[in-house]
Amino acid sequence: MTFADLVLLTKKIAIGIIIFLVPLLIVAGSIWFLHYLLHQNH
Amino acid sequence: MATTAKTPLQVIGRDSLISLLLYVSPIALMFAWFYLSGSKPWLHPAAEQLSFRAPAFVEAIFNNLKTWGLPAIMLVVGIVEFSVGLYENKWTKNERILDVVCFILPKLVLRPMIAYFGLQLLPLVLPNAKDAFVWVPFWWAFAIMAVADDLTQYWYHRLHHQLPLLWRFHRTHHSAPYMGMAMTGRQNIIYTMFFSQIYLTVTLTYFGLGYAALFVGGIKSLITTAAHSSIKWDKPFYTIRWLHPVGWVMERLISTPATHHAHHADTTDDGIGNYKGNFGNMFFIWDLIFGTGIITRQYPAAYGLKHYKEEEWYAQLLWPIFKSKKEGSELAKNGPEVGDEVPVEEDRVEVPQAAIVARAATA
Repeated sequence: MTFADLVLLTKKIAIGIIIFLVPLLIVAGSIWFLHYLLHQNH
Repeated sequence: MATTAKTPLQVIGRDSLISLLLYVSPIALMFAWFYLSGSKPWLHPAAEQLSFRAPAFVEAIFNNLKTWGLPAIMLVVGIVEFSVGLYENKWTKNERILDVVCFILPKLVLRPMIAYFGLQLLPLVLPNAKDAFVWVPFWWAFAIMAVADDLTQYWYHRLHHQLPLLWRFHRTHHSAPYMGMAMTGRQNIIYTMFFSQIYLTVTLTYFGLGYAALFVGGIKSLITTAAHSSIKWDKPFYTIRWLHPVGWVMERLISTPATHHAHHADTTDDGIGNYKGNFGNMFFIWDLIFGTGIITRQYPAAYGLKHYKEEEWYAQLLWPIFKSKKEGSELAKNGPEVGDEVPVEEDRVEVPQAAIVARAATA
């Protein structure tokens, strides 16, 4: 393993985390926000 | 009037925005339904949770599928495939070791990682979020989980093809010159360990959508495994007239051997192979929405990579920790990032197979 390999691994893991976090924020955030809106208005 | 083609990153950006709508759509529909029907399931979460319960035997099937069931199915089907000669003479010792290790190792490595993530890390980071969405009715949870899990895997998979820096982590899955159970789980271990959709599903399970996730996971596993099989079980849907309507819907909705084998083809020149697309895992419809899919109802003549050098199984499994000794290999020390961008014969330049960033805009 070289330093370049470590950089590559870091980038790969970072992209993986983004692909995990973005949908999580969209899905969980949407459910929370729409629930909040509907709960507040009723 | 001349039109300017979008750059690959523009295409990815546009498709990401479409994805945002796709992720939100089942959730928006669910709340529209609550609004129109006056339903407020969050006021009675326990009752809603119990409003749907699958029959005990169905639940048992899916629970077992998650543990020993799917590996057992793969083993039996794999033996059938091998026995009837579907691997031809291409399952060499090196391929066999790689396939068997890839079949066993994730079960030893990935399961403890997921257990740690779900049982230790999430309660530590989000202590108040446990079962926060347990009130979501089953069928809505099923739709939300199906879209969230499979669309996330579509993106994980697609970016490993379209971003050259990621390609070598996914290459092992495409190096097999055959299709079948033997190569279904064949992946570089780092690709498998950081499967984004697994962590997403575990987190949404922690949030209370776990019962639906059990069924989505089971159905998805069956579809993706069946799509990799060398048994062309979908053929009757294209050849028997009265099955045509079912086949038409099926090949657009889910991955089939025809559409997924095309993704594993070693060429696009025959009009059948489409290794630059057909990225869908459970649902094929993502490929239709994003324009990355081709439906041919035919099967490629050859699978794998034109520039495959039969790299050592340990290099394919553990690159970049271990490198290949094969000269010019993508997995060798100082090897090219994308092997098929390098001319392999004196007068012939191969069509790039994997790094399709530069061409994705025209796809």
